Amino acid sequence: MFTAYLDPATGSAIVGAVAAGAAGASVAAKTMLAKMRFKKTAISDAGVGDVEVADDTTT
Amino acid sequence: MTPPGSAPDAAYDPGSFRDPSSRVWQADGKIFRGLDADAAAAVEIVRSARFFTSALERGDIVATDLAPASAAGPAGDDDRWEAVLEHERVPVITYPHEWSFSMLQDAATLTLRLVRAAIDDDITTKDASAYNVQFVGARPVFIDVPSFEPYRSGEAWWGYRQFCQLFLFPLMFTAYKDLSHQRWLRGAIDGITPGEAKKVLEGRRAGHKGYFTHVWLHAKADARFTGSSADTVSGMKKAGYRKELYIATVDRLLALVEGLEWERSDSTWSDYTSRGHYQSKELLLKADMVRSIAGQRHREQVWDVGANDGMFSRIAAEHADTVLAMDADDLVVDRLYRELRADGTTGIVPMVVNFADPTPGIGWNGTERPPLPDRSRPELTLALAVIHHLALTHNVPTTAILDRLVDLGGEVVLEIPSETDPMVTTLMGHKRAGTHDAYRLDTIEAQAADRFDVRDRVELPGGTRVLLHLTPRS
Repeated sequence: MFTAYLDPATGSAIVGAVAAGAAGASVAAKTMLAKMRFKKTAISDAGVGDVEVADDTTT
Repeated sequence: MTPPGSAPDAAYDPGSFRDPSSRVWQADGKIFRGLDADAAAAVEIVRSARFFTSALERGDIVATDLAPASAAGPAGDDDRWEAVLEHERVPVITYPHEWSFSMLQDAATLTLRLVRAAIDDDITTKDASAYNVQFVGARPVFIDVPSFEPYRSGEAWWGYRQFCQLFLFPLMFTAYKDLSHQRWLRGAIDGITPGEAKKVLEGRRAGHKGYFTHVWLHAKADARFTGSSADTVSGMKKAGYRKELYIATVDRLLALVEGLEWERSDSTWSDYTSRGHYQSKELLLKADMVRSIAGQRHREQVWDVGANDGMFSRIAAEHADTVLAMDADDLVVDRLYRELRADGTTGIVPMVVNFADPTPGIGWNGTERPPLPDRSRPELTLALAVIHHLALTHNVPTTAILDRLVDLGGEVVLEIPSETDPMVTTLMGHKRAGTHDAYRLDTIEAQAADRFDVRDRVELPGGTRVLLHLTPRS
């Protein structure tokens, strides 16, 4: 039933939340913090020098 | 209803492929859309939603009905479609890069209003392309029914980015920087990226409404976050995203778009209405001739090239289903659109088209959004007071102009200003002496007679302009 085919794009999704106002900005901030925590955890799990970050890779 | 796909001429629309769950084709002069199983399930829910039936009744969504389930698509796709819709045919397909500012604004507003109404029924749109909207006369109509699907709780609007790229940023370019959006959208089928928008809009006027969030922050976030969108969507859900925020985003976008204004008050041709270069008798004679020719029979489509204030488009529209009122000047097209919108005219579609540089095919294979002659064939073309501009400003040989008119296939009303016409001498005065010695009334008339049957010839009272009624060689 769900046929979404576009990439909503991470940055756009976050800004779309900010566009909702203060409450949306709060959700956006929490989302970004969670991403940054995930990134920090991924870096420390990978060890020094292995900085392949799962959620922030570019193709 | 004729079963779709049964006609041998069934062919998929070249622009209908980006959403793999549905595709549009034409057969027997009708428009059909196949839906796969998921799309069919979604559309069944959407069609019973209150916002959808209301929008259909208002004419905001194209008239749509289910075709027989036995329908088959174009050859080889018999089993692909779970359900098939039939849509009312839009008389002429036009594209955002052919719309004026107010047309794009109205298309954007329609999109947002539908998104807003849909969410009250727990329906969202999975995209927000400007190509989802068409114009029937001066009225925008939403045509991409499968764009709507059930809303998944806690998710943001997936169409936000596309809305920015194809609607908001182009409108801001015009409203805030007086830049015509057409050439930007013509050059990029996916529209303007946040980074591009920031580069154009930043600076002294960067304090304009919507700039900080939708442009500056958007560009920064776009560059900063390149990871999985699916993770972000689920992360936002966990962080507490809810339907109220979705509604707030759409409401704020709607207020922003509705508040955008284009401040330019004049352009090269915006004062043409005063027509100081015509005596009033000439204008009346011209109108009479156009009315007489247009009234000889009813036509499906008429082109008015260099339509300006639409005076002759309105005359032609009395005897035609659709008149394309084309002009290269986006301000005059915008004014014409707003007048037609105000008086509810549906038979004239204003378009920003430069006949010397008409809309090419764009997108995949150069055919995804085809050039204008592939979308419309005029039975009558009004080429009033344009040949000298094409020849003298754009340096197009008059033979090439006439060949182009022959290629269009229909009759032509051609106005030829002579080499002594004040406008011609003015245009020639911009060039080195002798550049356009070949521009002569008798030469052009002979060239026209070589290519067409000349049905009628009228010399306007001023003595410097001639009207010809030309028909294809019999």
